[in-house]
Amino acid sequence: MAKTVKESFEEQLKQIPLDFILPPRVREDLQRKGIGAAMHDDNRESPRFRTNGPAIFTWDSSPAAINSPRVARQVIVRDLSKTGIGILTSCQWFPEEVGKLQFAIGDMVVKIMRARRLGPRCFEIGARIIRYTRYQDSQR
Amino acid sequence: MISLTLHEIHPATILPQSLMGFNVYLSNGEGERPVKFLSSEKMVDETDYDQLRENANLKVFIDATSLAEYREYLVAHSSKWLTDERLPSRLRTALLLECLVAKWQSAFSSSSIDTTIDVAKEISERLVLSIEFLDVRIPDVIQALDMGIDLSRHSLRTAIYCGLLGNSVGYDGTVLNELCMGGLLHDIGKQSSGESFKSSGPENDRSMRAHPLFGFRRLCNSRNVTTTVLMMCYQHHENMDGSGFPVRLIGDEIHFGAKICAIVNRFDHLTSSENPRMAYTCGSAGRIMEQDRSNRFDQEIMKTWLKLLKSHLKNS
Repeated sequence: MAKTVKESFEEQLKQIPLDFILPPRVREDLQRKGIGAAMHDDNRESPRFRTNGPAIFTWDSSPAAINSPRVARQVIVRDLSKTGIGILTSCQWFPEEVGKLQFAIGDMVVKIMRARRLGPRCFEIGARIIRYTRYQDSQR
Repeated sequence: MISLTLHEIHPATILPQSLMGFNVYLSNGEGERPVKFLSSEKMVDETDYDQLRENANLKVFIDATSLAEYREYLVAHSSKWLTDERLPSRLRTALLLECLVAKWQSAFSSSSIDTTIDVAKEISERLVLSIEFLDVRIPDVIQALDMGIDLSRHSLRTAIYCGLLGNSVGYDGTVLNELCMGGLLHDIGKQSSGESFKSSGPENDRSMRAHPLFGFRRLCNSRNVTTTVLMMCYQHHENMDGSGFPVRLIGDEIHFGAKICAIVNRFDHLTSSENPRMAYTCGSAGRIMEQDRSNRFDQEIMKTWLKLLKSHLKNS
């Protein structure tokens, strides 16, 4: 019997384990629900909702001067708004990089807007959503 | 009678068999009224040249409105006077910067980022040649470019310091070129944000903290911009202890070019000011940096910078 998208996503997650440890305050913050507080340099146009879920990020393109090899990574989605998404990851990504975030129920093409270091091997990435595709029930 | 505003130039910059393209005036010592010596259409012949070389008291002037033409003349003949060892290296440094500053000022404020990058590439090649073949000294750079804190002059000074420090650390050729180019372009994000960075306030602080990101966005898709140049622009306000911006990187997460740029950027902010009387001297700036006990800068690179600064101060 063919695997569902959700099953193959879970299998992929096992193959690409999380390669970072969350700082305690970030771990605590991930347990909270509701609308996240706006930060002083917040550029997001719509309110951001706290979330806590895994995704797989694969690179589509990077700026010409960034030529380091990129492999798919498991990330944690920290918050989500109508136009943007906050991701936790183990390495620094650069503005203008474009990639695909894959979830159990769909995927999203995003453009990195900024990065901030939260702790050893832990970075928070802010990205703009370019396109979101929700899988059909039959695919799921 | 038409009165002219005259600008003194060094006699040694007038080269034999060259067409000046502007009038040259001569005065024979202090207080003597300058008289026309060469007209704009006249080629400098050997007699004129000998006269200039033999009389040490001669003062040479041009009409201040011909400054742009004089700079063009200097650029066109730079290979001759840059290698002329009869000219003191301090003077050659000053002349070189005189040539470059006008060119860089117009390129820096250009609305086309490609133009800015192309000119930055060309200027950094000249700077590397000068660093390798001229005895460029930090106090001479300050003296030649010590005019306010405008961004183009600040970035030109930073570029030279980046090249000098990179050379002392042990880099040469392509890497030195990248370091000079990164120095020229490190504050390009301030140019694009259209904000004034001279006053303080929350809005200004926000723009100030965003300028590395603005700069990154302007440069990142150009084929002529390397990773080193891009990281110097993006990371030059990152501190080794993680207290910098925009990412708060620590230690070796910061690119080596950005570590070099951060040190010389600090030095230039100390030694330049809108009000020249407020600026620190080279020596005082060095002492302030030496006594800085914060861990913001790479200590090894800082040691090299302070050593270089001391040697330049000792010999100047």
